Amino acid sequence: MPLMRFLGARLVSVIPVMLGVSMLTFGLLYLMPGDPVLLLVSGVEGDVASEQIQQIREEFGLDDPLPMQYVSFVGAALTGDLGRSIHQGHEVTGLILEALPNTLELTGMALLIAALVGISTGVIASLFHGRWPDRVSMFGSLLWLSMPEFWMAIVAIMVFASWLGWFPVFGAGGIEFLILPATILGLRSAAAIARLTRSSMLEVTHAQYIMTARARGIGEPKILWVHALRNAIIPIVTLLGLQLGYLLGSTVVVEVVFSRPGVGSLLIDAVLDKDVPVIRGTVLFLAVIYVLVNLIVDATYGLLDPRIREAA
Amino acid sequence: MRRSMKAVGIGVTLALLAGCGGTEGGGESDAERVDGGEVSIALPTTESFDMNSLDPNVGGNRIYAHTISMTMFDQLVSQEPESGEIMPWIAESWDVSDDGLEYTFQLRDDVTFWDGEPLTAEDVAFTFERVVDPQYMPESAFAAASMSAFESAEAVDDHTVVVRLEQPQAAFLANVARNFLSIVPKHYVEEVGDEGFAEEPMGSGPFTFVEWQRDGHLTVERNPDYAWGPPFTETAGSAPSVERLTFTYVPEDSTRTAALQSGQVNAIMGVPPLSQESFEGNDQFEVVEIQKNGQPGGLTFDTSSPGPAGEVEVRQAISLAIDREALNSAVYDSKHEPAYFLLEERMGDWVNEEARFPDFDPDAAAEVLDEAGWQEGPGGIRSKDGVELSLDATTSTQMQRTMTLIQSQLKDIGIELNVDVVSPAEASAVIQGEDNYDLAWGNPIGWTNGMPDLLYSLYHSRFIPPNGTSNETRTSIPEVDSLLESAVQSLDDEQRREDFDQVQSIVGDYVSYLPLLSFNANIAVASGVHGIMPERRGTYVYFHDVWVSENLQQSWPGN
Amino acid sequence: MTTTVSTPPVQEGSEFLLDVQDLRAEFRAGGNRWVPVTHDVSLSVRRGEVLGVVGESGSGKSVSMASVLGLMPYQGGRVAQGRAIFDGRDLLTLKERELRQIRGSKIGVIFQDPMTSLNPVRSIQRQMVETLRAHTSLTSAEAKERALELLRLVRIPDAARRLRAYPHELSGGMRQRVMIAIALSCEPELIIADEPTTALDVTVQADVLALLRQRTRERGVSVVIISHDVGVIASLADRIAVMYAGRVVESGSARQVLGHPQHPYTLGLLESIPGVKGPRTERLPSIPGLPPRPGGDEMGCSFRDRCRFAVSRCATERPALAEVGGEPQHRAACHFAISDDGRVVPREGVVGDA
Repeated sequence: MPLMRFLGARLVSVIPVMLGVSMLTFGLLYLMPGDPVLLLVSGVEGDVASEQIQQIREEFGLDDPLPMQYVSFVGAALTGDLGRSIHQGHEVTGLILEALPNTLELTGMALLIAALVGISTGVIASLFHGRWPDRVSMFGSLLWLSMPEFWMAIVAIMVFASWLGWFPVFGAGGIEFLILPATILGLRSAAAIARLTRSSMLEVTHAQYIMTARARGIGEPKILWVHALRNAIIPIVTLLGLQLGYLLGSTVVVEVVFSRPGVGSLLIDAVLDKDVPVIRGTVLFLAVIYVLVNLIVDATYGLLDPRIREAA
Repeated sequence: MRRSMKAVGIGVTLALLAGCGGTEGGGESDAERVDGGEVSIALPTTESFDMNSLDPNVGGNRIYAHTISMTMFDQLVSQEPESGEIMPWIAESWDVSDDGLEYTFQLRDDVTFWDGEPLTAEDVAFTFERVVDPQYMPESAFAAASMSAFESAEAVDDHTVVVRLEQPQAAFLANVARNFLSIVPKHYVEEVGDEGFAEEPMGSGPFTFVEWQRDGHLTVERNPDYAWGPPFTETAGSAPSVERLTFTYVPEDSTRTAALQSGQVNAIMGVPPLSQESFEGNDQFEVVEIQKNGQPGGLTFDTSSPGPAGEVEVRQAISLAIDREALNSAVYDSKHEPAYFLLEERMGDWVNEEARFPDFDPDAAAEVLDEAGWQEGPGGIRSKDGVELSLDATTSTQMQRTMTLIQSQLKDIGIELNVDVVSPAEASAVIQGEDNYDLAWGNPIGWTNGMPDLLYSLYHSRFIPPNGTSNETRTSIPEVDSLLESAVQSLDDEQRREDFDQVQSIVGDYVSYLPLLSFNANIAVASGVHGIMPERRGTYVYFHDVWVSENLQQSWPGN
Repeated sequence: MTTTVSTPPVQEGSEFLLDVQDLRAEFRAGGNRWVPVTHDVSLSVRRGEVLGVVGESGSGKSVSMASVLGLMPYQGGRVAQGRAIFDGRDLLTLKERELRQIRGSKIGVIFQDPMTSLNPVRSIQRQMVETLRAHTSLTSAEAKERALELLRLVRIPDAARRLRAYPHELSGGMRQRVMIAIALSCEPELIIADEPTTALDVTVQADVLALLRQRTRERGVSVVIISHDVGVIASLADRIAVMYAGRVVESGSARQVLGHPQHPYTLGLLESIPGVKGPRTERLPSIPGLPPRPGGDEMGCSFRDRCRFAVSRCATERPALAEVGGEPQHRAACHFAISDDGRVVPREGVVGDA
């Protein structure tokens, strides 16, 4: 079946990507100043002698030559073992899996909001091309894109949680905890998606087959939602895949501001602690998710566009 | 006002703490204690401290994890927060051998862990041996450091435990009173293992563990059997009043503030200085000011630096040239206190009043530099023998604004600071690493400790990196070394005081460290939350006496 | 509201199935400025007749047909004046909803590039069924059955498999057969074929044209075929209209126009194809120069800059489309007449200065 062959080919191409990502995170962490072990014992009142520090360094293999550390890291990672947190002692894999559901919930909801709001805004803007709904939505999206997420999150907390009291200020749990952070996270992506949807729709509505469909007497709603959007959605799906990477990255900010447990806050803590195994494990993990999602995106192209299925 | 706090009795202190900052404080301390209710507390994490392990012995140095674990565990002895006096807790009495090497503790016989098993001498011995077990390094480094003189612990019978030291340690009882030395149940730890215990602990404390959503929230409930609180608590001899405590981890300042304002929580620790005003000016909230013990926040110098920072005159001039009031008002809305001593003023008698750092005097600073041969050069930067008076200042991101202000103050007397803003991790690596640096402000709040023995860790030459980590200033003065050795081993408080006084004046003159600001670890609560009491070090809190007024119990639904 | 597949009743006395008069189409040139792209275009098709519209690209052939179909608003244009009587109704006054019932049903359309004319992400079947169901009351299953019949009708081998295929899976000729099938699907009275073979390989062009001719002839369907290729027009058309720069410059029966071209532009077009008209040379002459840009000066003959016969009068006076040589229905817009041996003589009553 061509789709399976196509996916298989893509899966193989993932391997060098993952190797690159792992090398990059591995290498960058060693360029990053600060000694995780020193940080661990900073604040000890008294005797932490160098031999104790040395002992910890050896335990975590921090003194082995870099290539050796890398090889043992990759070897273990292939078996799902991302090492043990220097700071917390827990298995990194366990920490990530524990944090994951909240982050997936947040990014999933954010992506849903981004797609719904972004695509409908973009379609409306393209329908009213050049008129006020178009201008308002495009200006609005530009404005939204240029706001720092951190600031938007705090404003949203002040207005919707603290002042109006509609949502809880922080935390995780039911849907009421999800709405504010997911909206903050999602609307920014929505702005980008709206802009692409608009231009993609404008391009598609000028395509010959749209004119042909009209000449065949097909109704406008069907032309818009079936013929035009079906074609316009292909670049949008690509963007959605890319946005997922952005969303996963942005959860770092949103999770901290809304004090939501998750992979983002796990990562930020690890960075502050320079907890190398957690940082590289988390980054690698996020990279895997990102690559997998884009693999899925590639697979959906096949469903959305029969031409791509053949080409692979 | 705070100075007077150490002189007044316990009851007055409690009233002060409960009412402090409230605008209608009158009715507060008189209000009748009632049972029930819930306190939900949002905790900050200023750095990398978080709740990763609830193991009080070997779970690492995490302020807020310990804040929580203190609700669930008891220690062998307690330390009265204001006077620092050692008082009974699980041990109802103790004897110390004349050589100061053997302590015999008599335990209460009515203490039980939550599962009903009695707390025995076996558990105490197990706990002590546990914290010094090298297998727990590095997480146990903090607990182990406070037990540096420990040799062995032996359960003589169910209620008698004998602890032997390798050499006398004056602060031993104070160290035992610290939360690192919380007594853990031997049978339970052995049953569930260290990891199981870290995630689902069991103690004998006033509150029992309910659930912990890691990095999310943690709930503890009133232990109805509890009847052995420290003697200075109001509820000593009975169970706590409040039904339930919930701790949540809210690192972002504005979110934490909003959480209290919106009523999602009814207490927050780490009140952002700029939000304090809004709580103080609103009778729905009260601010409980808790002053820290130990070392104030300030500049750490590398006294061994081959550059100008290694010159004592340069450090003295810097000490004269920094306007603490200006720092406090510009960056902290004057919510903290200028600090002029190597130890926090709350250390009381341990502070050498004569070793006060000089007041702000830029003219005197210029004179010191003139005399030392630092001549003003072009561009206003001084130089000597072709060397510019230019220093690298490492600062963590949190202290960036403060350091920038210091930079401009020092420029006025011809000293150039090159400010390097780094993460807390990098800052600690610079200060505790092997290489020289000039000056730094890494850990914003300074070192937290209830005993002056902290000075030993900070200024004894044996802790200079890379041999140790805590002598960040690389202070190496033989006289100071011997004074400190004598002080930490002496069992005579008068002798200790004299030694520590001398250390403070010598190190003060040497300006290894420049104390600048005392950071208050303030707590803001919804009006109606009473009885939060700081522990001796001022960083941790006793929740034994907390109670919630009926009004608040009704109006605050909790989540 | 109800649509029908049966042949509509022929209106007695109506000479033309489609009669376009004085059509002026305009495009928006930014803001409120409109630029005319066709001027007073008049075209007509009798029932069962094939009208060929020939001209270079940009001459207004396709715009005229888009205007008739009511598609100008979707292309940023409008119809400023004119009538287009189809089957007794003026299409230019119909509402979009009414037009939609005619498009694809009574008027089938075939566009130039079958690759871009078919939606690339929808199967042939979906697009055929969708058209059928928009205009008939067929059920989905019936529509599929009909679609299969139609594919067989346009001689697509292995029709059942091709029906489920996507446009990119078919060859260009197959795709255009599909377009023809779609155009025929609702029993139209008129098919407008806009450059139907231009994008196809030369080898399949003839097949497709033959198919189009055969399937329309046997059904008595009128056809407007638009092409820049005189050869295509010649092979199919009963009558021919030649367009240049938004105007009809010559019209008449195929025999008249091809045999006795009366406009220099027509002559040039014919000379550019081998074996149709003009001297045999090694190299095919083409008409030098470019047509004027729309919205240019309104005076004179728009072909004058490229015309080998042009005189000063051509710059000042626009020649009207008038009957020539006493031949009925043969009209040309030129101050001169062209004799069969290629000489140019002033028309009657006209004094030239050449």
